[in-house]
Amino acid sequence: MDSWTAPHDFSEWLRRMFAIRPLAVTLLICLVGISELRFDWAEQMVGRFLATTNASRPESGSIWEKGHRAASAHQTLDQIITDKQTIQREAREAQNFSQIARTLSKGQDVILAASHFQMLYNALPPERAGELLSPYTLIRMHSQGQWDRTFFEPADQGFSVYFLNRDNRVLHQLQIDNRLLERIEQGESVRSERLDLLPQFSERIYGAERFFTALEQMPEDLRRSIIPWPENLLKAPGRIRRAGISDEVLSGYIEIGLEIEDNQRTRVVLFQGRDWAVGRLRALLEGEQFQNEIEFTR
Amino acid sequence: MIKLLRTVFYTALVLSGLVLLSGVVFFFTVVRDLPRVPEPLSRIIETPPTEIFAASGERLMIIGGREAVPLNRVSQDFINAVVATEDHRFWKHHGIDKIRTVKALGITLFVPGKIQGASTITQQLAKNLFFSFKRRYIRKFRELLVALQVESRFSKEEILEAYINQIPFGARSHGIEQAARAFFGKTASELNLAESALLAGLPKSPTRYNPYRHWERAKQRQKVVLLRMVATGYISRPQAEIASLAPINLVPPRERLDTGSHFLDMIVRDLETTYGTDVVHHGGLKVYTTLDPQLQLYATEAIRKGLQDLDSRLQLPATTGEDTNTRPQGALVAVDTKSGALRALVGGRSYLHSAYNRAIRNQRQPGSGFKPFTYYTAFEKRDLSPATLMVDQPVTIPVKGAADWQPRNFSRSFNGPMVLKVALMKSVNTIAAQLIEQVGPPSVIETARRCGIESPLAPVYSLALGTSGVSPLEMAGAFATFANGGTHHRPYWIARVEDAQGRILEDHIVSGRRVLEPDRAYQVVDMMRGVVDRGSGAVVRRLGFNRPAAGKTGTTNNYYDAWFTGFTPTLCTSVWVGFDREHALKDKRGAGITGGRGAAPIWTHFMLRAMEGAPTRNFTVPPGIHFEEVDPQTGRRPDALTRNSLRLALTVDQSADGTMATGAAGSSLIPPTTGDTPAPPAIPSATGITEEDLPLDD
Repeated sequence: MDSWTAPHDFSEWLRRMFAIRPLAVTLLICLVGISELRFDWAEQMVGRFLATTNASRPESGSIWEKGHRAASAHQTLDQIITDKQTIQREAREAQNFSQIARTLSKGQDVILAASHFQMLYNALPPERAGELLSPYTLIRMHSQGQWDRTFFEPADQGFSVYFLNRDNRVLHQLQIDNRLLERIEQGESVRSERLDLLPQFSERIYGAERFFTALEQMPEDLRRSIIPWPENLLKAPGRIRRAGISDEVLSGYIEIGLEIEDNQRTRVVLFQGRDWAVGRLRALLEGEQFQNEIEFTR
Repeated sequence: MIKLLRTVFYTALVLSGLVLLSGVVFFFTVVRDLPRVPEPLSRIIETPPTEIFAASGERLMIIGGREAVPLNRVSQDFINAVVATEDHRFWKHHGIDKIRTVKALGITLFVPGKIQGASTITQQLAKNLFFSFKRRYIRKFRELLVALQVESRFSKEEILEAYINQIPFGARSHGIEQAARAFFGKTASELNLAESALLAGLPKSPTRYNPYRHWERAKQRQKVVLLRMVATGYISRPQAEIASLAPINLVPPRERLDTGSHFLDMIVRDLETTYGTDVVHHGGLKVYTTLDPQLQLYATEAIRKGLQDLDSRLQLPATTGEDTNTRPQGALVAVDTKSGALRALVGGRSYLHSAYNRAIRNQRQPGSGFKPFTYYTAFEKRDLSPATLMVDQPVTIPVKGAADWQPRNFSRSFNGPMVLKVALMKSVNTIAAQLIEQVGPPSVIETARRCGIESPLAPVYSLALGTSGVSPLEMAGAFATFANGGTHHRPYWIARVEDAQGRILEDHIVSGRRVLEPDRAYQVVDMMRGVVDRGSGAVVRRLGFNRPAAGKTGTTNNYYDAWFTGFTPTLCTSVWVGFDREHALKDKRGAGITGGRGAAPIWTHFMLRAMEGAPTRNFTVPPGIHFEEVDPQTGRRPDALTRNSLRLALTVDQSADGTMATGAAGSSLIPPTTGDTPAPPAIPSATGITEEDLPLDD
């Protein structure tokens, strides 16, 4: 193979330049250039190469940022929905109002079907369910056929209940105090104490005779509003010695305690009376006379 | 020489090699940071938009997302127009238009001060998707590389579809479908050649060619587009000429932008507060509002017409434009009395010129519009009634630690004894002042709070005359409480919010709270009916609104504010007009514009149309209310001498027997007289004055 030597003069230079090989190379380069212009193979080649590296490249740029914000938004929404659904599921599984109250304590609202509310209501001790909501109100709403759902919302020391129709209009509304609920669900609670040991009755303790004499002066419907289930008291063994009236009103009810003595043992039976009826009774006990019979016929 | 050539040749060879090597290194460096291209490309338009709907189901607004349409549902004229204008070799090249690039490079390099772009549609797509709009060569190169990848990976149809579904057209429209709806009220497939050419010209500069603001420029641009289409062979010259002369029916900007815009701002702000900006703009929410688009249109028109009338009364030159400082503003809020649902809201003269929402943000003095709260409080706390007799006379109320307060009447005169219903109908300030002195400002504040007024209220006697600022929204919500028999529904505007899958995030529950005694509330309503029928709001009747309605006018000192808040049993509307800055509303004769002259006509024009076709309903009279005719000056049953007796609503334990109100300490507020007829000596005798003779105070 001949070793390459530099051209010695212009003619040599020109001769070499226009020799077949350089011309062929130049032609080739031109052909490559023209074919690129015509067929865009360089762009396609670069494009295909870039496509192979696509998966390893960063998700940057405005469209990806938007995508990330959208993903974050969906995550937030999913979280909100999941929280709601979890609470809703817990509420659907509740067997009594106390469980609903515990669910609501997480700060979320809950909606239940009308039938579910009725199931919870029926789970209350029948003699005390009326303290929460009159069964007549429920029957009325039922008969109207508008009650569709029940909305529960956390409120101060308890929760609010809204009975809704299909258009989300409130048909009836009530406030339930957790302490009242607890007492209702326990039924008539019995405490192995004396009335004067229970602070809510201090200064409102009356002898049994005075209490029942005053009660007897009242019309029957009022008496039922004070002691809703007197039959239970008749069945209870022992003798009622004293009665106390609480100084606290909970959701329209006032607690009443009856101290019963039985074989030297003392116990207190607690139940709730309607505040307006108990108020009348207290007025009588404190010596205020009936001003007007009409006042008592509601 | 040969040696020199040789040196040059080898130097060039080495330099070329270095350049080539640097190019390769640069290429691979750039490639490493190149953004990943989403696959499929349609993924870029998959994010569902947040949609806001009216109560009727009509969509009011789209936020974020894209309203994508496949290419086969886009007018071919538009596709041709875009290709002809933006990149006429689009169907042929593979990402770069080399000829155009060389030309552009030549112009950029050799024509001083001119920069020529040569981006293909694919490059523009790459830029819009991934890059900022800063002019940098490295950004250009990266954009070019992404364009090459996009071209190699996706079909021309896919690229064009992605492009036309994301380009901005202005007027809050991204993508051709949104633009076609926003500008022409039609779908992208229904665009004709003229419309297509107009739209295809916008992406170059949506603001500069905005057809609403710069119609001539937009038309010029349309011609350029049509000529490009001729040059590229998509249409013939006659077709272009016909298209350029064809009428263009743009959706009027008022309907498109102003309808509910203050309202929509309020909705978006509320949503952002509850869910955060990302969720609202990228979460694809479905927001169902309470807005009634028809009522909204009526409200917008009523405010526009009312303010035009006011302009001419104030003799404002037509050339003043919409400058918020030189023209009076107005606001209107209408709420459903039975639920609190907001039906219409106008926050100012023009949303385009001022986005400040006067319906919710303005805290302007309501003037006498506040008196119903004082009267109700007096009924509740002092057991007064509409038949209670009081005297319109000079009043001096001692104020602890300040000068005595001596309220004056609008008319600067005093009219002697009158029943409270007349006092409210005629908006007598001295009697309202006596009432608040009796009940105390805190009681009035408490009543207002119960009705939903949340703005700060100063516990001062002048509160009775409305000296603490409130918003039209508060006034509408509070008066709706009276209309609804004392049951307050907090005004609301979002009925339900769902996510993109239809899962409920929020569902409004229509729950009212009884805050006023129904019989007392009804008495105030009956008195406010008197305001509309024969009192300071009688313009409502004169303008032809004949349905049962009640309301109260309000005008503040120096005529800075004019109010009218009124209601039918189903709809409560509050209207305010005034200047943004402290400037009196006075006509050419120097007479002030009162609530009755400035706001009540707007209320009437709105309510006339809003109630059209609705059944006429009367206010429900609560049990225990009975009506009695009285002599308005004596508060007693009318006798033969009584002219224009007045019907009052009274509760079971009230009767029209001329009972005089007693002062805070039990003293009579009526100057002592002998006999049955009170005749105060210190003031003009009321004898012979009829209700109609009393001045319309405000």
